[in-house]
Amino acid sequence: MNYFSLLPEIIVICIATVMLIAGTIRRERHLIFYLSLSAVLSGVLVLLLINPVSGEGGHLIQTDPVVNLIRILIYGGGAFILIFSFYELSEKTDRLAEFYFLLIMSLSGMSVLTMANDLLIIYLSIELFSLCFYILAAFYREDRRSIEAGMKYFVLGTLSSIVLVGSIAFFYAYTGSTSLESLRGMNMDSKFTIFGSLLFLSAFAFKLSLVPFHAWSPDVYEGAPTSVTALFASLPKLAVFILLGKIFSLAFKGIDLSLFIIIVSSLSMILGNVLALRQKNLKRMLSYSSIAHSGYMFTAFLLPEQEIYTTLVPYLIFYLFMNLGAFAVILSIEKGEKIDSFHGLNNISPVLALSMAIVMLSFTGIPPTAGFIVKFNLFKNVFLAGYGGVVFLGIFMSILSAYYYLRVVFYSYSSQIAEFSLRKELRVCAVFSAFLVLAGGVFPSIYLL
Amino acid sequence: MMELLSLAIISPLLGGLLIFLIKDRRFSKFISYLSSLISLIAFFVLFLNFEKTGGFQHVISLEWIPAWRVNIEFGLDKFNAPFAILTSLISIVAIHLSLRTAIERVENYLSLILLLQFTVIGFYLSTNLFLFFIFYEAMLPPAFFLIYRWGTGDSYRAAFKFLIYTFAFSIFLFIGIIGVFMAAGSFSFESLKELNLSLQDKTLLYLAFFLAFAVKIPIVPLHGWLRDAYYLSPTPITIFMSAVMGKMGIYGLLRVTPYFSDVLLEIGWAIILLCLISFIYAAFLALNQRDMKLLFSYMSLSHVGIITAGLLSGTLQGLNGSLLQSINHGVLAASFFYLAEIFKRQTKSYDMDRLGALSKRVPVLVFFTFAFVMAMGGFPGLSYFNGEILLLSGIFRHSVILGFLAIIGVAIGVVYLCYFFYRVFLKKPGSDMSLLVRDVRGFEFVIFSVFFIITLYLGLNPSFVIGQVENIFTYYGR
Repeated sequence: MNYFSLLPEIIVICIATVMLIAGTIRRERHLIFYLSLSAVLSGVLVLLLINPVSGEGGHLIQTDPVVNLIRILIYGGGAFILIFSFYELSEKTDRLAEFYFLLIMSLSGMSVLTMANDLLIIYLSIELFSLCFYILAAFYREDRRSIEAGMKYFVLGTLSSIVLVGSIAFFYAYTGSTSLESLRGMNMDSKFTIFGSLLFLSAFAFKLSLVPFHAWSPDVYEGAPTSVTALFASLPKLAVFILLGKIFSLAFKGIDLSLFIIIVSSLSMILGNVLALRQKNLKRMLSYSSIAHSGYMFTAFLLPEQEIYTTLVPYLIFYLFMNLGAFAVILSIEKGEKIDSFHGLNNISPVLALSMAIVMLSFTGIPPTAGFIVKFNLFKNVFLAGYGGVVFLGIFMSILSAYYYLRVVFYSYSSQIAEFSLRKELRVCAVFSAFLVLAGGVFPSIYLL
Repeated sequence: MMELLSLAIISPLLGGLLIFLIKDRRFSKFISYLSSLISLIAFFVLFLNFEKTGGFQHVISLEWIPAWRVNIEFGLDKFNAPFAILTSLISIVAIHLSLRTAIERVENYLSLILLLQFTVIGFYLSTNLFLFFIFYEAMLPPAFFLIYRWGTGDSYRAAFKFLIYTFAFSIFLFIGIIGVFMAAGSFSFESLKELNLSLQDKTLLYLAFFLAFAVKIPIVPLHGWLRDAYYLSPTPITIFMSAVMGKMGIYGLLRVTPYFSDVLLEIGWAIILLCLISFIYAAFLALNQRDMKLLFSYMSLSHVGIITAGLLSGTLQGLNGSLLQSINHGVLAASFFYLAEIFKRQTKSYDMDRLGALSKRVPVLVFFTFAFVMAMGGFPGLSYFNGEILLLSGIFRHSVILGFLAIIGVAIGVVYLCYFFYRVFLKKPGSDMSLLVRDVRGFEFVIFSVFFIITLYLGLNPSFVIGQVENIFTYYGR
């Protein structure tokens, strides 16, 4: 076992434990915040400076530059979530240290998931971050909706875990090993393997909230604290999609799962976009939009294996920043989850309104934002791979999505006089994300390989 | 010359960004005039000094996405240069008109207009399909903000309709350019020449392009956004949309059609018939309008129909005519909408029935209006005549029956223009609002004179625009 590639996680968890002990003794919120932030940033720093890459073959975990990039993004995005939750929660709760500990544990769980090279490690890391998520979703103990969200998430999440364990048992019974490399030797035509891999994919489809495994997502997104919703919407998708990319290029090479992928992704695109149309609550709307975006991204697995990463990774990166930007704006506004609160935002804070506009244009896929380029890249590649129907549906659905994304923009630029207070601290996060999204649209050659 | 072209393209963008950042009222007026004027002069100088043959000239090329072999590439040729000049000219008029009418938050407004101008110019000058597509879509946000924020009435609906129609039909443009990429392996316009496709696939490809552009022009079954978007937006934006953005569709067709002549032989008659139905239908809609701005909106819808029909006839005359007529129509539509705005400003209404007996009160206005009505009606010696002759001869060469239909539409066009002129200026006795109308003076006089001079000049010397355009077609035919 190569502990060197786990160095960032070890450091992060050590600092987080120190933070937990110090935080429960002293209960001083700034101390807790800065310790947690330093934990997450040290993870980013270690990855940036050392960039541990493990050798070929035979390990439980394995990293390569792409995985390390995603780990950097997970910790970096985690830093954003830390900042969000500090401004949202630190006044309302005295259990900040516990919150941050759970948050950091879930980050390291996702990070391990991206590196996993063995079915058992996959299961363990998924459980690690999912258990943290259940508690985070129910963090407002006084709020019934939050409890309901946590409960719902827990019950359905456990179900998906059982399915995952079941599929691992299938594979183990078939190959006698749990390593991903041994899956490559499976007889691909057998009904047995196809059934096992369908179970496996279903468990992950639950984590990605793909239709028909999406039922938990809107309620959980609505009930959880907003910063936790921002976490749910962005980072797990990153980790799970990268893992699935690895599995599709390593293990499921010869299995023809295209029918399943087409059905699931088309259903997600249709249902996600159509149900988002009438949402008045932005958190619910973004939940449906995340279902739809998962649907778009899931089509990438129809591609030949060498194109999966080059198509998926840019989309994931900018999807992360779009979500972070949108949630930064929502958190800045008092009652920001109600779409009506956006009326006249431009009159109070042009900067926030502009960032929201850029982020929403990018969600829709209108140039000159990165959302356009990555969506174009995805649809182009899928179209060239010969799945024109899915692409047509995807574009048609992203046109529908213009209605609900741009409604927010319209509201914030209406001439109505707005009367609400703003949290100015998160402006930096919003502007940073919007800037990245815009820069990614103007200079796409950096990430398109 | 390359520097001049980059200056002409980039100056509206820089102007828009500067205005957005500085947000000072007086400064923004100055900058907006300046950047549009720089752009106009630069394009004009470039137009006077370029070879009127061959492909793109003064090409600016920056490496952008090597993975897709896409560069940021702009170039001028005989087709897009007139459109670029028209765009800069119309933006100056639109900016001037906006500053005359009191508008709130004028800084944001001006920066959006300049951004819109930049995207439209980028669309016209791009030399590959990918950039073309990007600018086609990038034009949407400034346009819908302008319609929504500064429009009257239910502008929310109008802006959304415009947005959804255009965005929805961009699917077909996407499919078209991906189809070209699949068949030829590159996004450049040159690659359209080497399409290795069966006739059936080519027909589908061409239909995809046609649908995408037809909603922008618009052609009748796809014109649902037009009424609200033209009528409810502020008049400067209406001018911009009708004179420049409608032409984006025509330009797009002009760009791709020469490569699809074999497709046009097969299905050309059906598309031309559709365009002519659009021409006549919109003319009938215009016939019983008593609202000036609505009349001009439908007039605009009607005329782009015949321009497209001529283009699709696939003959040299038709293509020449549609290029020339697009420019003529841009200038004249702008002047008609400007007229409507003058009446609106002075009488607070677009109603034609409450005017009349103006011919002695406002002689200069009558002169200009009559000149424009004559021009639009196709009076020889004024610009529209040349274009119409070319378009009609193109359509007649394609099919006599279709030509006959086109003639009917032209005749109706003269009728509603005469009604308009009679109701507003000649009808006796005049009505209550006639007393409020004053004559044009000052800057407006200059603008109308410029429009009039352009109309007259292009009427006498149409080759200024179309020139030896035949050379280009021989170039395409190679």
